[in-house]
Amino acid sequence: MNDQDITPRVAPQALAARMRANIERVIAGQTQTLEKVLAAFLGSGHVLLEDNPGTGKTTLAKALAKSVGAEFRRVQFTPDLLPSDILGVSVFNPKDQSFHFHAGPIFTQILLADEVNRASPRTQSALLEAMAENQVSIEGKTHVLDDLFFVIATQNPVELRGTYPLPEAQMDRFALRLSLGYVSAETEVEIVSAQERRHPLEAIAPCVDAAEVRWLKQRVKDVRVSDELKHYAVRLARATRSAPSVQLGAGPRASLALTRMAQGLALVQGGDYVKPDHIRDMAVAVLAHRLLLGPQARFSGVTAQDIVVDLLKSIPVPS
Amino acid sequence: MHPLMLAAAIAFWGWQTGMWIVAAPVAIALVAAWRLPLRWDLAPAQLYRVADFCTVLAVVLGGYLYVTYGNPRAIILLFQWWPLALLPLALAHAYGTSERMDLRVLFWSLRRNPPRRAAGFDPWFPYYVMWLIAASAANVRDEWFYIGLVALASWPLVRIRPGSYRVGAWGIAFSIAVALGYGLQYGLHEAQLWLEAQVPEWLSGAGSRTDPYRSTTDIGHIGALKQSDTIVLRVAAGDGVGPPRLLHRASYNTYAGASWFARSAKFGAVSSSPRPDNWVLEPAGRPSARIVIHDYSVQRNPVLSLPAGTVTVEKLVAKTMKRNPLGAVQIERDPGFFSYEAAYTAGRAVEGAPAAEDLRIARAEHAAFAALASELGLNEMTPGAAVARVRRYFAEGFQYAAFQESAARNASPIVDFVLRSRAGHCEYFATATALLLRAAGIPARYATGFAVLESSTLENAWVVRERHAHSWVRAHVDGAWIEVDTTPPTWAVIEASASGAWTGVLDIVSWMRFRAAQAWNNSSGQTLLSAAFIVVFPFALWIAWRLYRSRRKINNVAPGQPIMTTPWPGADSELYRIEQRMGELGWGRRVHETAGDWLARLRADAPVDCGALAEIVDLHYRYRFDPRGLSGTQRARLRQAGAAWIASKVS
Repeated sequence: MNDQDITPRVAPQALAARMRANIERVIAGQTQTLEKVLAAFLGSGHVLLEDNPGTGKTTLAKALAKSVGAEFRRVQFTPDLLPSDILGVSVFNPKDQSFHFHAGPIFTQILLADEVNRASPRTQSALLEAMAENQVSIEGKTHVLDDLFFVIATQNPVELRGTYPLPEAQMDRFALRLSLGYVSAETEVEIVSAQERRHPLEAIAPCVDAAEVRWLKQRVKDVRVSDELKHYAVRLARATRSAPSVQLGAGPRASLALTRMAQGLALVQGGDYVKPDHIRDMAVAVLAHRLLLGPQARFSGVTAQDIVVDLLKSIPVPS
Repeated sequence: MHPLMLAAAIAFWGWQTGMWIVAAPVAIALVAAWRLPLRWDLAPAQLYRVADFCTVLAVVLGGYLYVTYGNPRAIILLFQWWPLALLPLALAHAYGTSERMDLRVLFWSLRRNPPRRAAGFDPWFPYYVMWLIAASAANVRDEWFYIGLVALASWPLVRIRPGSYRVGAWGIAFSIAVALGYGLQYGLHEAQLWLEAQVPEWLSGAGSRTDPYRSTTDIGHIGALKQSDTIVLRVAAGDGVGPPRLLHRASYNTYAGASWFARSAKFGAVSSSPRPDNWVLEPAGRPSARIVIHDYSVQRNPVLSLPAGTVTVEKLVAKTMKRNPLGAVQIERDPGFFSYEAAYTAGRAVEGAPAAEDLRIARAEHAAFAALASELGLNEMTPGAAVARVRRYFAEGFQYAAFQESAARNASPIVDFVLRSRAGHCEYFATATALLLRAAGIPARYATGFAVLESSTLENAWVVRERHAHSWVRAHVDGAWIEVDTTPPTWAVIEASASGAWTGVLDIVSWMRFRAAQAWNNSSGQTLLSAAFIVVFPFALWIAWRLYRSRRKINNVAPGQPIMTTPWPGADSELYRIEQRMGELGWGRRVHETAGDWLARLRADAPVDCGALAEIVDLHYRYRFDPRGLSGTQRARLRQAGAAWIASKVS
């Protein structure tokens, strides 16, 4: 299907706004996080949600999947989960004396990897190729994934027993790390009231189809970025490499992700070009999880977020 | 919080402590932070470091005060200087960018375990209170202090007074609170004086107090006599010579109601020659031995502990020295460590001639002691023989007991001791001996001081603990005062058996304190201070330089600076002129703020028309950051709106 035959009557910003409004019927009081998740979805970046249990991580992923009418699968990561449980396995069929490939849950459009840090590193790395290159190689054969393929992984930062922290390479595959955080008391009351009879998730219907999403993803690339802001994004990413108490800074993949996510955010917020605010708003989510802190920083309680926030304050923002 | 309030609190502190030289620059430096546009954006880690530095500073200050002044003066002085130890943090916060102080700055536990939402607080009110407490630690007890304190305490209260209360009612309630506060503190003070009078021993800390006019004994008290293991004196004797067994502090001549008093014992000045630290007690005396005594006094004008027959006291810095006819030597100086060298003639006490008081026995004890004296046949003996008989009498039938089981009924406790119980502590023995000798016609005085019994291998010196406090008798025999100690020698062993389990550790601490004080005294205070300055000053400079190096911005884009130096498009946007104009009014954009953030901040706080500004910012953004740029009409609109906005602002 050609891009141009889709919805030439509707502006991409309006379409994105429609998606946002649809999801907001389920996820209340999380506008900023929701905008960032949508920006990542449309900007083809994967999202790691790190938050306490019960803050709405899974609901957010499901609401997104339902809103776009995409195929949704959820994998609960456990210590005994094997790579083949995710990727799929070839089974011998005695009838025709040959192996048939049974696709695993990764062959979907939106994948919710719940509690991703509970699986062994071997299983975690099964996601690597899929997330970076949109394909999986099994038994020497490469299977291409759907072009909507989008991973929302969750992890619980509180419980550390029996978990395997994601390796840096895996972390780097996520475009964003976000946390939802707790909502205000009023919003929480609204959530309780909304779910008295039935879950609002059951009520929402797809508001865009897969073809429209593909078109939107193309439109994100059309969002204009000035050279100055590209420089700003690169300068932020590079500054993490020389920041004190950082052992390993963010790589060029981070500069790329920062620009792309800012484009996505501009589109979701109804703009057609990137403003410095977009880059600034995305910087912590894009950069912080890629930093490896030195022991001194960990001892003095400085977090990667703190470092990125400091950098944002120290590097003059284009104005 | 109003900066002048803080300045007033600091000024109050300066007034109360008399440290104007310190208070004035501190107040100016802090208040200037509200006026100057200069700001350092310190990262959390840097603030942590400043806070840690303050902690180190406070610990060093506390250690220095403890070593120099000892408790409890050190605690009071620490309270007095505490806010200054926190001054670096206060300055860092005042010249920093955040309004509230992160709790993590103060608590290590929160740094290790950061809370999900950073908790902050306004540090200025606690700091204000801290200055008031510090001012009160100066302990100036006049009504001006109370008036000043009430004024400074009411200032913030007036500011936060809820509007729903009427001024009159609020004022009356406040006056009542002030009056109650005054009454309570007065009552507390009186209660403390009463308590101090009742239980002096409860409050006696390390070091011992001696009142040369009165010695309250524990005679007649039931229960155990318990004294601490604290080391109060250190005695260094010459090579080969042991120290004198007894160090005398004061003698008393009148016994009444379980207390000894020094009557008709007026103090007279002792002159120093040839050097001001050389005090001559007995110009004609020829010393046969000398010892060095290191003393620690908690009282202001301490009484010296001297061996019998002291001729001169040397190397003692004091304002004045005086002594009474009973042999008590008191000097005028501040509490703390001091040491002196005593040259003495062994075996001969130097005191005034015997008087009528030295033979008097109160009516309650007279009959019993007179009977006892004649029973022992003391009246027929020579004084020397009588003293020997008395010594033997107490050595034979009496026991040392630190625990007193029951009190005598209908009899003076000292008579009960001699006739019935025959067991008691040194005060019983000394009092009974003195009275018995008096009954035999030998002038006798009750002497108090310390026994030198313990040699410390740790310190390589003789140490005298508080429980070595002792009393004995000085009897006038053959024209000289001799020391008569009738307490059974087992007393020291019995006392030592009650020493605490921590004694060893406490001894080491005590010794370290003593050595530090000695080091301080040996190098004159000046040298040590300048040495400390040499160490601390470069360190402070280094920290200042580190902070300066790591400064990250000076708050506002300063007016008059080149507007933009980047080669990017849109440098002629009208927004920059607006920014500049707002900067002159104190609302400039900060370096890390985007134009959008700046607008949001202005919208929240600044008294300007933000509706028009929002349009200008929008056009400016498009002009600067949209590669497609502005259309001709949009550019004209930006130009026109910007000019209009500036014109409205200028007018």
